[in-house]
Amino acid sequence: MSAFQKQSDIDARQAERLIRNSLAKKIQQRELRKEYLVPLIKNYKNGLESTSKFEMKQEIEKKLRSRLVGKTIKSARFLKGYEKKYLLWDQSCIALELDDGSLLFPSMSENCDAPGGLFFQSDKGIESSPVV
Amino acid sequence: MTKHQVQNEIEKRAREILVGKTIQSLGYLDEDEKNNLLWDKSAIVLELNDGTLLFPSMDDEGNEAGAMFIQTEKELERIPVI
Repeated sequence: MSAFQKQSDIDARQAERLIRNSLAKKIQQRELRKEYLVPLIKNYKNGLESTSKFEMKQEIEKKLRSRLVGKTIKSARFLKGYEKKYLLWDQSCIALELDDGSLLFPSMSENCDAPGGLFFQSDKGIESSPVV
Repeated sequence: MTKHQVQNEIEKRAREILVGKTIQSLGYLDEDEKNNLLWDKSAIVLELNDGTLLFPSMDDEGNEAGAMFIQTEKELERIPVI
């Protein structure tokens, strides 16, 4: 076996180990999230499971209007280290601080599995805020 | 550019567009808007008082609708995709 082959075997084994560790970490984070974070989430879908999609949208919009309309964006910033840690996220996304003290941020899924992107659309075009 | 510098630049731009603006109305994407984005699910859209629309995506490439969360002192509230 040549030195090159030996090196590529080592690289492949290292890569495999890294992927395995990374997957194990993600699975562990998902399980922790399911156990500790998801039960704490207030779900606007609760009690609406039997209704149609259209009715569900209307009900959630109604609840959210009283919750969010009229609120002013006080600041825009990336989630801080301790906030990322609480959500068990490796990456951060933009979060909007509202004038009532609440923090609004996007996520890739309803189980809060990872940060999401936020799009801003105006007359000038569409801009997106990435996950970093 | 470091991660920190990238975050600073994005925060600066986001502040220019968003700070001081008020949420004027909201609603889920309708069928046409969803189809235009090539999404199967619908996300919430927030309309600000200057006409800017804000909507979440599962990633920064806009591959599918995303959820939104509201963190308060008491709890975490989920705005689902439908």
